[in-house]
Amino acid sequence: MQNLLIEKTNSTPYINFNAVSGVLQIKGESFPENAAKFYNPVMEWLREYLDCTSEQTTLDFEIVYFNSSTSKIFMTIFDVLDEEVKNGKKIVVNWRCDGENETAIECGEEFEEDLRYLPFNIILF
Amino acid sequence: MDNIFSREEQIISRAEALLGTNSFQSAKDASNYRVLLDEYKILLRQMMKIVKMADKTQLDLKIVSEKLNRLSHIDVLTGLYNRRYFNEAYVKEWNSAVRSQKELAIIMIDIDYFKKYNDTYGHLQGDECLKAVADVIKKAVKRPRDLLARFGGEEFVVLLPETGLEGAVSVAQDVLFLVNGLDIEHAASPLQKKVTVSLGVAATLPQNNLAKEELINNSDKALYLAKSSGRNCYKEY
Repeated sequence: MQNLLIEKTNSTPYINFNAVSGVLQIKGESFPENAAKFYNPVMEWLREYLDCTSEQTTLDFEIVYFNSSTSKIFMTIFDVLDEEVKNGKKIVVNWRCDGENETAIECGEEFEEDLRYLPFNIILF
Repeated sequence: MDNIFSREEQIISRAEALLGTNSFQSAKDASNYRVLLDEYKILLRQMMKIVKMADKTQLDLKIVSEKLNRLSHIDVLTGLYNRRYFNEAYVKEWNSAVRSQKELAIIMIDIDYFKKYNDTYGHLQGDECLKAVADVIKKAVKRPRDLLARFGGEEFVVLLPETGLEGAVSVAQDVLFLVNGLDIEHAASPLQKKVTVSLGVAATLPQNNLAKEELINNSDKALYLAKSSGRNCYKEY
């Protein structure tokens, strides 16, 4: 399976999903005009990847700023992953944020609150 | 309303009630209804979270934007308003004075022999001198609407709404007195070896047909007069 690499722009994050290492990275700011359109290929790649992997997968989120549409997409992703972990997949999410960015930390906690199976680590730097 | 989602919650209560009344034609219908209701609850919870996060982010942005706005108006060294803010405020006060037909006055203040001060004591002490002078001018400018700004390097400007020449001269005298009272040593100054200022005072009754810059130019001319008449004094124009 091919890796997914999307360079960052002013309004969209850097995305580097590596199917071999199982490290999926999303980094930067996310306020695309059309979040569904931007994240569609990302979601598709993720679904396809999850269909064929049984290896340990790590999702690294390092998002400084994101809009509401993006938070909806993230919730959808976390729901999918939660379900996968329930069914036996080994997945971990790392929500990385600046220790001084209270909002980013609190948003991480909001996401974490609704998950039942998916390990969700808030990692401060 | 203690909750912006009270209508959504009412819908959930009604649906729960409906499930409790056994009014479904079959157990399967009831069970499908239950599944949909649970989905709805999850999605509503998501929506509440999204709104909460958005509110928080928007508040952050608002605070940052206010901070930037403040920074863009303030001179970092002296804490006074900067030239940009003065220009904006000046146009507003001018227009307001045209409408109210009240006088507007300006005092232009310049530290005497400041270049020599910097050459003698270095730029860091020059900064301290600027701060000290800015602080005493602040004391002389008392009314809430009066505006004191750093106009340039060692130049300050005071904008006095609803003030004629006489009132402005009184403020200029206070500034002169207070700066002299600071007693900052200035070995390279021929004026009693201490830091002094020169002031140019001008006032006018703003009219629509007058150029806004005229008043500023006049206070500049008055400052020039003060400089050429020996400094450490004020002149009117």
